[in-house]
Amino acid sequence: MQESGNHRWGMVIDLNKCTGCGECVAACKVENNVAIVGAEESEMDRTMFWMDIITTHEGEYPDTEVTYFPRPCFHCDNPPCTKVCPVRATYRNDEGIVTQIFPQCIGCRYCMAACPYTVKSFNWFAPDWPEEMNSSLNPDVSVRPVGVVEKCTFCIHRLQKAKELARAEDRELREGDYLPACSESCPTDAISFGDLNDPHSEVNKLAKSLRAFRMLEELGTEPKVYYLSKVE
Amino acid sequence: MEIKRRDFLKLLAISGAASVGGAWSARAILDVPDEVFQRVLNGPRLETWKNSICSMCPGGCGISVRLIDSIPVRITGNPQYPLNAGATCPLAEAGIELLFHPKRIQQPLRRLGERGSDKWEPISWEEALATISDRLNQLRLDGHTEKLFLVSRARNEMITDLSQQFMASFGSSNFSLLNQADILSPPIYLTQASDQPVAYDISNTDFLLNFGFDLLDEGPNPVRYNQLYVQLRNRKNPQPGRIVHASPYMSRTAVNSSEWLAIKPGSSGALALGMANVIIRDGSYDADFTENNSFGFSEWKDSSGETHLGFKELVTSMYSPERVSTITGLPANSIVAIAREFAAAKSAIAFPEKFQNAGANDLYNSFAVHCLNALTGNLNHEGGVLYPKALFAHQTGGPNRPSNHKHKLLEGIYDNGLLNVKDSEIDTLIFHQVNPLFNSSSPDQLKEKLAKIPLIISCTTVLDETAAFADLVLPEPSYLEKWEINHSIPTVGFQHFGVQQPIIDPLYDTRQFGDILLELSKNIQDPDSDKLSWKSYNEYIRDAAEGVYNSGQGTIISKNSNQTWLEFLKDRGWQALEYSTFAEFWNVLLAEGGWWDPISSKVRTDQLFNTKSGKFDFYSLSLMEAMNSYVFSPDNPIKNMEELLAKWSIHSFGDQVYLPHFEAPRFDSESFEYPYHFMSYRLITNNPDIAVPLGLAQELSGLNSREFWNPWLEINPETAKAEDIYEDDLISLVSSKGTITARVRILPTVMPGTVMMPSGRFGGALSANPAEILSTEMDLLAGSSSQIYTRVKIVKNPPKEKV
Repeated sequence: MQESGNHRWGMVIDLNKCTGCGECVAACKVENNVAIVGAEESEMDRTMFWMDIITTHEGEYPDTEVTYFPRPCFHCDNPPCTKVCPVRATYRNDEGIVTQIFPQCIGCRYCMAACPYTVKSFNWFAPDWPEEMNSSLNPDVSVRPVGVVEKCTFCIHRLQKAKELARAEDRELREGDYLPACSESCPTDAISFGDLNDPHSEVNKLAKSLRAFRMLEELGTEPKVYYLSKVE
Repeated sequence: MEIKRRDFLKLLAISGAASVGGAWSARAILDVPDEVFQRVLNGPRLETWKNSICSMCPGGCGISVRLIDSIPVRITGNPQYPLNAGATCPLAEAGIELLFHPKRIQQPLRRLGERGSDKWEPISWEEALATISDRLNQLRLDGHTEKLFLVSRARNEMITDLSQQFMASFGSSNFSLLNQADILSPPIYLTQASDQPVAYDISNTDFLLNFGFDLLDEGPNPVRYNQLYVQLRNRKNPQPGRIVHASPYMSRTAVNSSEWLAIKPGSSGALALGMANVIIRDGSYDADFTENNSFGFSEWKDSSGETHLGFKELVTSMYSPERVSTITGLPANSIVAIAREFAAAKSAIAFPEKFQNAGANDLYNSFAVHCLNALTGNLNHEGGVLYPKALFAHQTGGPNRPSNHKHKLLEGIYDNGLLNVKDSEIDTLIFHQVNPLFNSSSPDQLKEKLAKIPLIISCTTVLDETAAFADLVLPEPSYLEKWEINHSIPTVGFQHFGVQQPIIDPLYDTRQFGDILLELSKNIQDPDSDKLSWKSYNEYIRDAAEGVYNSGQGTIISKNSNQTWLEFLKDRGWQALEYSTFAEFWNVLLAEGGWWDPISSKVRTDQLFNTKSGKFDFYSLSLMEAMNSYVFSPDNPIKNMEELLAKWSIHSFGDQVYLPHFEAPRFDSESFEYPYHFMSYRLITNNPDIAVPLGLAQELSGLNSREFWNPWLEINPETAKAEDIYEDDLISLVSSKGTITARVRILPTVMPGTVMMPSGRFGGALSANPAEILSTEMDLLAGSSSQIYTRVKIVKNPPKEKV
């Protein structure tokens, strides 16, 4: 494993293993206290997903091809969103994670417009859970206030925890110490996660596979989320 | 362990002192318990994990619940549990929302005012139970114990056994299960006269032919099947398995198969028979099996010398690929190709369509499909159909489910069963965790029926439609607050059970149904009856687990108990883990979450069949016997077979009735008035059995359709063109029974001429329930209601008030 600061966290999603069940989305919503916006707001297309699934249909009945693309934030190495933020509320940190500083966000939503993958959501209202549920939110992730933009953080709170634990045990971070909730909970192990800089990591090997591609690669955003195409 | 405040302060002092030599070296020097270490690491938030079993669907996955200061914050899969190997489905994640739902019932309620008026007064448990006991004692005094009815949900839980024991000790046989979980067992009963569900060895098969069961979204255990499908497709050694899905709709299960065969609704049985035709004509069937282990494969003579039709003669004369092609809509050469592939595979599985999917001809369809397994020698065969032994038979003295085959085959005990009961035959009706007024396809008729029943009791967690119609509502704890044993999930090839335990103290004044039954049993005044002797339901399930402990079989699940290792140990006469007492076993069991026995002992094929012939019945003598006994029973108005066949809308006659054959699907109305078939399908994220719309599940249900909180209608682009409909249009579907309105999705996954709709509970402004337009029709022989019986027409621009 590389020295701290030399990590470049990335994800590889194997479309041949993804069944489109939606568990990654559920895990993400619960882990990150992503708001349930309710029926009325959903109607206005304000449903919030940090991890989403994009379904594509090709061909005509009965020769139809359906593909499910789980879609987190791609944590681009050349992210268009950070460049337009007037207050540096979003930036690429030195381990390659595009982070959000919620208290710093002024809600201008430039970043939402700039992101070609539409991964960002805006909090139109303060999130609202039934009173009974207040103490059952994940205490590791802050609940976002009204008026800020949010998106997938690769579960960066888990990275903090993993680092603390590694330090407590006086060792380096090991592969698998740090996994985002989606990758950890995928029933079919379709989502691999790790350090792209580590030549021995699984993601490093998979990202070099002949099946690997990235979304809208031609834009030059250098996403760190790779897909492995389906095998016919 | 409990940490007192004083101990905690002491510990902080120790770790403070230790931190001089390095912040976290305390752990290395002192034997600091894990919990304490966590508390120091995280501040006052103590993180713990407890293992239990999920109850959001009948799947019975093992879960690990993350608790912060004893409050559950997240549900994940139990990595050791053999059914789901550490994973859950998205619905399981919504379990915490259900636990804390504001609509939970907090104490027993008694109805005020009219039934269904939703006016209640809270009463004490003592009062509620006294009311019921008085009623039951009165029934007993009058000698009418059979007037007590209990309708429970079909789950593989010990409560089913206790309920049955309670009803038997009270003296009533009127116990039935709604939403039958062992939907796969009817063909097994026909061909093998067995109650025990079979297993399918999917991980070792070369060829899985699924006749339309959406295993990835519903059925025995969706998480497991998501994993099995992916593992089979990506298998390295031997080569990947082929999965072919035959159904009218390209469901998520079809998408995840290697190939999808689009067949017309209700025609799966015909496809199976067409394949059998090719296999028999090619001579590629298992002649050894058909000759030595089967009955009715070829023509046979009965004791009076009369010749009867055999499977071979029926199939070769009636189901040529050309004829089957016109029934299924598949080209004849595809039928030949798939049949040859199936027969050539080293191991193959024909997985029957889900009951309730077909057009009121389910039983014959699944009968035909199961015969394919027998024909190709895949019964009791690695990578084929396996026969696991029943668990807990020692506890209940028999099969672990109520054996209502008499009803199942002949009277229809499913959702319409209650409608067939005469008013004078029922006095007290208990519903346990079922909601037929929402799920049944005939809620209005059922409501009329319920109005005439003197006392209705509903034991449930949230106030659902059926509870709202009851006289007494008894609140049951959520599954995260109660004790249960969940075991023997159908189609799984090994014995297993998991313990559901309270991971949080009950939030409200609730009682488990098991405890209610035991309490009632105590209050019944009859010296002759066998009292149920357990003090609590917890004791009941402990008792069951003790039976397993005493048997010495299997092992508690643990990180190290993989199958190979256990087999290695067993060969040498050792056990993985030894326990000196049952108490020790029980404690480890609660900590780990479950028990399994992955080693299945081989059974000889000739010992598998309980049929009269002692063989696999291609010609079902069990069916013949059941139908004859029905016709000849004294209290039955129908006195001859022709009349019975006409009443049950079976178009064949003679020997064909007892052989797998194709019965054309029936529909409720004519195609010129209602041109489209209407079908509903299940989403993994939306279980209609859950009585409240859960926010998380609602926002996940629309992942593919992008329609959140509301259901939608799916039509083919051809249909859209013909009807001049565009994406997102609001349209109404009109059937002979009713009308529903929803937005349209135009998708190439839907067969032209059909309209698809997800079932489930939705919480938005356009929340329609497909049951509102589904006509009531059943496979009269199997007694299951049919879901594709309904025809509809499309009406655009619905009246404003509907919107």
